[in-house]
Amino acid sequence: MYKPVTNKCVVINHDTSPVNEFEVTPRVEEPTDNQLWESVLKGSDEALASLYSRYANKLYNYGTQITLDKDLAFDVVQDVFMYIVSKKLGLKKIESIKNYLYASYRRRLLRLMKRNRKIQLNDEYHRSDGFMVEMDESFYSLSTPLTIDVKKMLEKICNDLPVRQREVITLYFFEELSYQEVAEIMDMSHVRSARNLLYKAIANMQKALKGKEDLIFALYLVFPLHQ
Amino acid sequence: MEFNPTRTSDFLENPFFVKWVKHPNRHTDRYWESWNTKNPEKQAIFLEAIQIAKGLQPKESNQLSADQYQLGLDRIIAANNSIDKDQERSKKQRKSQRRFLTLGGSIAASIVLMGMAMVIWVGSHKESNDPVLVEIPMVVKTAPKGVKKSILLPDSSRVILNSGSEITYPAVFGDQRVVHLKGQAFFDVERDTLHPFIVKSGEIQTSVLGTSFDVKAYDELEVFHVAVVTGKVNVRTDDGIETNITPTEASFYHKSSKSLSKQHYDYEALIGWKDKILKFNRATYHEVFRELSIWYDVHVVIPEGMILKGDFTGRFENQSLENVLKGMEYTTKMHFEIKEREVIVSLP
Repeated sequence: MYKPVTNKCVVINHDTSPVNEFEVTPRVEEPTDNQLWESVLKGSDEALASLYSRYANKLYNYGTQITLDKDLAFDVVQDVFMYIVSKKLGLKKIESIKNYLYASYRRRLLRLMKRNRKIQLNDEYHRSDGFMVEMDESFYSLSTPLTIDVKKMLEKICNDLPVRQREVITLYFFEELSYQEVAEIMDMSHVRSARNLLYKAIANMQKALKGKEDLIFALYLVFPLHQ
Repeated sequence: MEFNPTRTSDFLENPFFVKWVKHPNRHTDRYWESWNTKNPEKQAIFLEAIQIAKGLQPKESNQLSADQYQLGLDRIIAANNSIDKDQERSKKQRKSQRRFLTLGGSIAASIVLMGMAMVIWVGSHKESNDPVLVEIPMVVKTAPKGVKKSILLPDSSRVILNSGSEITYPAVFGDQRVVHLKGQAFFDVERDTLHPFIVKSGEIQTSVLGTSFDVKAYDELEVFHVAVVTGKVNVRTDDGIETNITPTEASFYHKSSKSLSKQHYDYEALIGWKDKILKFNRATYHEVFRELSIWYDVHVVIPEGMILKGDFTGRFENQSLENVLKGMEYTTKMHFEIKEREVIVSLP
């Protein structure tokens, strides 16, 4: 079939328009953590793989904020999952899977770090520069009067906080865990200790922003404390 | 009740506002947009705060390497299955001990065992209806020669697929948004820091959280490129060589040496294709003809024995093949003749 080449060009132009050829794929309902957990306890490989894909990298990232030993951070991810696999019938019903994973991960990591430190005597082992935040510059837009410098300031005052306060902020705001969950993960005896530490972190940042009403407002928006 | 803040802190004591900033949806969007237009004096601070709230992210997102991840998962799955075997073994041991029991006892024991088997059977039967076992189908999209395609991915990221290219992705993304590309595509990725977006193409993979960038990886090419328009991009080869590139930078992968290089790039030469701009910067004629044959779906015929020396520089915006070839005739000594789907090259 003969088709003039010029016509072909028109087809090309037509096809590059972004509204053309739209493909919207239907969303399949993803199982919740608790549904996965139940299947894992029944021995399902698929559920186990899904749980692993949901949390292995998150736990690893959490661990690498605490220790410089990346291999250890990975080993502990394995330990946590191996424990679940070996004990699955003995594990009781858990309310928050995420919380269980983070809490057991952190506990085991710290225990191993303590043990290893006795052997290695390595000061650099424990990180003090983990849980930092970063202002993504690609969010910079010319439509507002805020300059990069001002945004960087918010980043800086958050990163100037003690590491434990940054960890609370990460768990509560970025991982969206509750006070109770944060307290359990960070091994605090009272829920109010988690809450207090978080308020202290926000108060510290507010102090650093003294006199800058606009930024304090922004601070509260970034880290809203109400439930 | 009307929301009428007089101090900035009034915003913060409004849970509805705070919730909207963190988890907006189209209904709350509409509400706050209309509130905003009615209260123009608050607009500046309103916009600033939202920008900051969205831009501040955890600094690091350390990921297991693909090998570590696979190894880790394999071990756990293996353990999951070997434990089952252990349990069966101990069941057998128990059974052999029972050989010494009385007849009545062994009948009772076998009834118990049958009951256990039933429970296990019912249990495993139930599991096969589990929603977890749904297999996610893969979607394959191709843009044949002469055609470009715009595709919307399941996470709302947009892809413009260049001619002669193919992209494969799951109908639903898992924890990582992985797509496979053969050929060239421009990606505009929805930001999602928890689910990295990864483009696998030949021997390189490109990882981002949310940015726009171009990947060119036609099988037959010696050099692949990844060029960034916005955001930050990580390029990594199968050999583990990696580099981070930022806007105006491109990374080039050289297949023969398996090496990565990085430099500033000419936007139109690398990404112009998506805006119908065909631009060559000192390109060899071999490259030029390859590009034209994919772009216009033609076959370029070079007579045997003809040697194409030198290089070509030129820019065409939204032009027909005839015009492109006419333009080339001006600046080169070549002559072109279009015959149906063939372009025949000759020297006068």
